[in-house]
Amino acid sequence: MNVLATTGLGKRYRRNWALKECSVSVPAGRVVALVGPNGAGKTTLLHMIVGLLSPDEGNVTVLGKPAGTRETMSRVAFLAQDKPLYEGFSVADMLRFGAHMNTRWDDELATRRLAELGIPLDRKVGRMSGGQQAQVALTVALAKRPELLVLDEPLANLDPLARHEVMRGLMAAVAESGMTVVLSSHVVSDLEDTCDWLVVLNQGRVQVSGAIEDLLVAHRLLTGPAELADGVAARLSVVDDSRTGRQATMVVRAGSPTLDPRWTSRGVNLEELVLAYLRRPDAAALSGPVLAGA
Amino acid sequence: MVWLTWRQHRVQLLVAAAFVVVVGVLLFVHASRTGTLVAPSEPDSVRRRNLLDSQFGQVGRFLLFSAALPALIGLFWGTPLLAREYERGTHLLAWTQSVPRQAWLGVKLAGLGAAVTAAGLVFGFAIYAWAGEFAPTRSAGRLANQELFVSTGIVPAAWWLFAFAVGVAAGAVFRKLLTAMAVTLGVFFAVYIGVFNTDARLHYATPVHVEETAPADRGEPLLINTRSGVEDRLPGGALMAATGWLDRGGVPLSNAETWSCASTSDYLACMRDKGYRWFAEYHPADRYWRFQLTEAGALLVAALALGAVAWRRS
Repeated sequence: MNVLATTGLGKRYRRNWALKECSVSVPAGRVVALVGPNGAGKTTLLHMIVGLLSPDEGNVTVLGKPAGTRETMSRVAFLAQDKPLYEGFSVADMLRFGAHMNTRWDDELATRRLAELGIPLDRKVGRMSGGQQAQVALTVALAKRPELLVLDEPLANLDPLARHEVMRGLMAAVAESGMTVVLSSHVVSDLEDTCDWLVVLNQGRVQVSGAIEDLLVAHRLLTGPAELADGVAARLSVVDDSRTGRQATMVVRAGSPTLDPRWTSRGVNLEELVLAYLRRPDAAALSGPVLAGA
Repeated sequence: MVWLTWRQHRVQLLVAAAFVVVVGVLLFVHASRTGTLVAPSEPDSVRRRNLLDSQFGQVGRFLLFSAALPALIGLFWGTPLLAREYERGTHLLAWTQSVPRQAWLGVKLAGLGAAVTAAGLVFGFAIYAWAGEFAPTRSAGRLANQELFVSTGIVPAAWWLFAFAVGVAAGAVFRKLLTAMAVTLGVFFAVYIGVFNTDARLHYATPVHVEETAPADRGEPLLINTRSGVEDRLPGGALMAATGWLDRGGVPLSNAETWSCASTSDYLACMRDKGYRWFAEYHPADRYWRFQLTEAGALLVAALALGAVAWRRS
């Protein structure tokens, strides 16, 4: 079952489309990396998933129901960019907030998690470090016991240690509950070890959507003489093609192509894959459930 | 939601509650001291009136500042409700819990609106009761004294609620706390002072019209075009709308006609000889509640409209 499905989704701010013809499906239990440059429409997409914005075109289905309704939102948690919390509240007040505002609130989970992190309940939120605030915000989201957790740039503005701690806490919670996670970032290296599904958003359109494992297998990085490049490009589906003098470097969509021995071929990593697509906004790799659903 | 509303706005709620309680106690003390100072058994005398007047003035001089109260309500209850959430991004937190945005806004608007109204009513009726102690004096006329009219009865509550709604709507539209506060102050005082300066209250009803020929006796009753002189000739506590002269056809005189007798030795006789009649228009004191309802109703409608703006923009 798809936890999240969007079809032909579009959102317009005045005359500019922040998001256009966006169709994505995410199977249950995945940890989805939503990647794209600043201004690609990531936040707009996430806000539509959690019902903060309503689409101008298309629709969003979350957990099989329309996005943003009371029933849907009791099963979805959202951690907004900059991890907003009420600054005047104590940590205990933030937990009371969660308990009063949610039907499935797990207070025991929240207190246990904060105790493990060594965050005192009587501390004012505004007086804590950025890393601790992020942990409190994540705790409030997790104690909702969501089936889908949506995080907008959860690692932005955190120092490397805090990034690691937050990510580790998140992954532990995912392993425990089996929830689906969608998290956005413009830094791919943050996501390499933790995510298993990739959505690349560029200039308001979806370029890539699929299981990371499949995507990595399906792409090769070729390096070889520039004079042979045109021939290869004609034969294979090229995502990115950069030539410097006599050498050509190409990212192609092909399992294991047979090539002239003068070419070297190797697998791509996530960062190379994402960069190749972002450099070529016209290229697209929409696999699996997207095509099935379209 | 009720807990959240209380937790986020408890400072404002407690300050307002403490304020109306303190005002109520002070007024009660002042009224009972006045009661013992000015014995009610004492006949209506000049001495008694002067005493009441001076007692009234002790508190009455502060009535002017009661205009600041709705302004403060707008600034500290109204604008932060949405503007502070937008400014700090906490609306993204509040509106993605299991409680829908409509319920969040509905509870806050209804709960805080009711609290503002309740505080305003306590304030209004405390001053209403206090002013009752000074009834024979002219300045204590709840309708005639406009500062008293806006500080007594249900009208203060209506102004407080209106200012609250201005603040909330400004926050919804401008989304920055400081901008919303500036707009709230500007809009509130423009309306509040506008109501005073345009004499809008005189039009809440058709005034009572009285006419008489210029009195025969020179010096009797008074200087006609001064309000205080005229008010002595009208029922106690009346709100003056207009005074002046009419010609034989009942048309108000032009300036030149009014002054045509100015150089004569007996102004009134001259006016009488020309057939001019003196007139006054006023609202009797018993229209107080009708006027209170009119003003409160208009403000309530405005507050609801502003609430709808906030609802749509958030």
